[in-house]
Amino acid sequence: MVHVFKSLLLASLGVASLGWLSFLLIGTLLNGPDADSALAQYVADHILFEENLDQLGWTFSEVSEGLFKLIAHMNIVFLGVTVVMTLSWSALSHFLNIDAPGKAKIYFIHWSVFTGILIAIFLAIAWYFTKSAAFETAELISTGGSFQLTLFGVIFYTLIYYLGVLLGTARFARSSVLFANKLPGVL
Amino acid sequence: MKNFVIGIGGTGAKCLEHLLHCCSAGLGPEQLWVGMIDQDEANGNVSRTKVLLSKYQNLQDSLRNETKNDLAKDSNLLKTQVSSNADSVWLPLKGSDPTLEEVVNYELLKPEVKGLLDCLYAPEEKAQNLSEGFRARPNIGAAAMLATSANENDPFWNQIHKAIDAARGGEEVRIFIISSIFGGTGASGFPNIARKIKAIQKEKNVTSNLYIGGALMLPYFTYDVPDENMDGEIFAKPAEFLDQTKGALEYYSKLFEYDKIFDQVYVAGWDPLSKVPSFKMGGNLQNNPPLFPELYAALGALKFFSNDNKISSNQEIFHIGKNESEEILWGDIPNVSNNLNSKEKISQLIRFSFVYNFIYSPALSGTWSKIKSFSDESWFKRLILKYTYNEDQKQCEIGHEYNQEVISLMKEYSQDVLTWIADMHHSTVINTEQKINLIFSDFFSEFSPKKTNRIKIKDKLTFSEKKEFAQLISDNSNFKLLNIMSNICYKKINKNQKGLGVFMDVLFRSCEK
Repeated sequence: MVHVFKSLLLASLGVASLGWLSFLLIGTLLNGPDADSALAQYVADHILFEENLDQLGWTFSEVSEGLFKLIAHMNIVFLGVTVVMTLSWSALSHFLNIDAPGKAKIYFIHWSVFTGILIAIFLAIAWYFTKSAAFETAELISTGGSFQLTLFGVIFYTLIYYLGVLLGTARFARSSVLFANKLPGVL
Repeated sequence: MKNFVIGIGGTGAKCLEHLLHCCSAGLGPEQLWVGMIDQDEANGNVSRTKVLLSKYQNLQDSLRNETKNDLAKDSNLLKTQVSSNADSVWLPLKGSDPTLEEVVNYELLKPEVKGLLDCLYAPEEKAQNLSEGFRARPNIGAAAMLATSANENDPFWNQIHKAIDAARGGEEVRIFIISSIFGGTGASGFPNIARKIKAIQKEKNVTSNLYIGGALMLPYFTYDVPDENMDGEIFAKPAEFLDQTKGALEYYSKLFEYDKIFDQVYVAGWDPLSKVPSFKMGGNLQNNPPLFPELYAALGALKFFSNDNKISSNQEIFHIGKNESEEILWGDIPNVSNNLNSKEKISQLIRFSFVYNFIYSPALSGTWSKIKSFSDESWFKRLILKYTYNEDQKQCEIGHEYNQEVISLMKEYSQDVLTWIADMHHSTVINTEQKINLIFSDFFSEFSPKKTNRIKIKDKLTFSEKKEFAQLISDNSNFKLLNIMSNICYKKINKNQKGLGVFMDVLFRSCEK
């Protein structure tokens, strides 16, 4: 079990290496960024569906708070799923039946499927927040904006997950994770 | 402290086989000199131990070598520095196929002495060729042993002389003799060799620091003697074992009462007797299986050598036995000392031998082009690549001949351990009501009691057979191959280890429950 806890610690470090950016983003979005800030400008220019906004008679400042909260909540869910999946793989990697040299490579398939599931969950989360009827503010997000939120979310959080599992995967299972076997044996 | 162990006769040699395996498991003392005494030099039991001794020493030379491959001092694997004479077996009677008549120069004796010999020995006993031992006739063996001299020029006795000199120099010396009480060579050698040692001690005026211990094996096995073509042959008859033992015990009770030769004596026996499947009179065909009671003698020797064993001035006699049920369990194996748990160490060695033989040595055998497919794996990088990498030539030298030789030597030894434990497991209880529950060996070996090589270790295991590893040791530990793979990636590497010594020690420690 000591090795599992070590793995969880290393995985947490991997997640934290980029995860702090996510924290910063979520915090900023929940507090409401300055109207003149680059973040607010970006959301106004690239995420919002301006025609809808005009038709409904809203201004950006009136809808921004709800929109920022939606994006913040979406990121919280992204981050939560990332952390859970990273730690799950890191712990589970210790129980993969790697009982002989060369056998870890077989589990690359398992890792690929696991990662694929994670990406599918990310896509589902992005759809739920930006396309479903669950959030009224989502109607104000343009198709391009939704695509950008999904793309950036999936890439960024998959990267965080990858850094986590890169460090957190059990030493003997590293050949199952892309490039993880390039790490030094003592890490 | 200097330690010496002498195995007399076939039983003595077989006990040494157990003792050597225990030494590889880390149960032995720091240093041990091993010698055997048997007139039947070609005896299968003696030869087997002789080969094992040589394998142990070769491995030790290869893996306790400070320049290339070093397990280092802290490692328990092959911990005991075992030494022996170039020929580890001492023949009491030299020459080609001597008879008792020749040994005592019967024809040159005075008529009255001839008459005495005629009273003590039957004509066929006097004329019996002794190159295949004393055939369970201790009266022949005793005469033959007493007819030899403990000459310092003889390599065997030279070691004993040196040991006694060391005791005189202030170093503690412990000598342990193992033999059966009911055979020929062993029964006659046990008291006579000890007496000769005592005589040298007395001659050199050594009064302290020298301790003599012994293990006496009471009857613990029997066999069926074939009816045909045995008329007129002299051989060990199981029906006579108990009578011989009774007589010998009466003799020893008097000996121990009046003459303190031994400081500690360990007595082990077995009831019901194990039934050895095939009978051979002597020679290289007499290759009896290792049996569980012999392990007691070996552990007795190791207890005697243990630093925790404080030898008192009184003569001590220890008896050993198993639980009263018909089943032999791990709990029946006594510990060598408070710090040395026999069960844990022996099971660790068995696991190590299994994983080395079936899992890791196939991965490490061959040329670099074959082995390099594992070079990205964590265990390989930290245990092999780092320690066999030649900085000047910028290459890993695991595929080089000298490393491959060590890998192959260890594979051979691992197979010996698996054969030993599987053979003991089956042969101790075969054709008896007894049961044994120490290991599960059917998935990696085949047992054929009638064949010379009773145990055949499989070349390869299937996926499902490998999964049976968790049941290899019957202790409900559920220790899996995965646990070992995990351990070798995380176990700390000890300082001063070099080359393949790093991998071997980490793998050995990884097999500890």
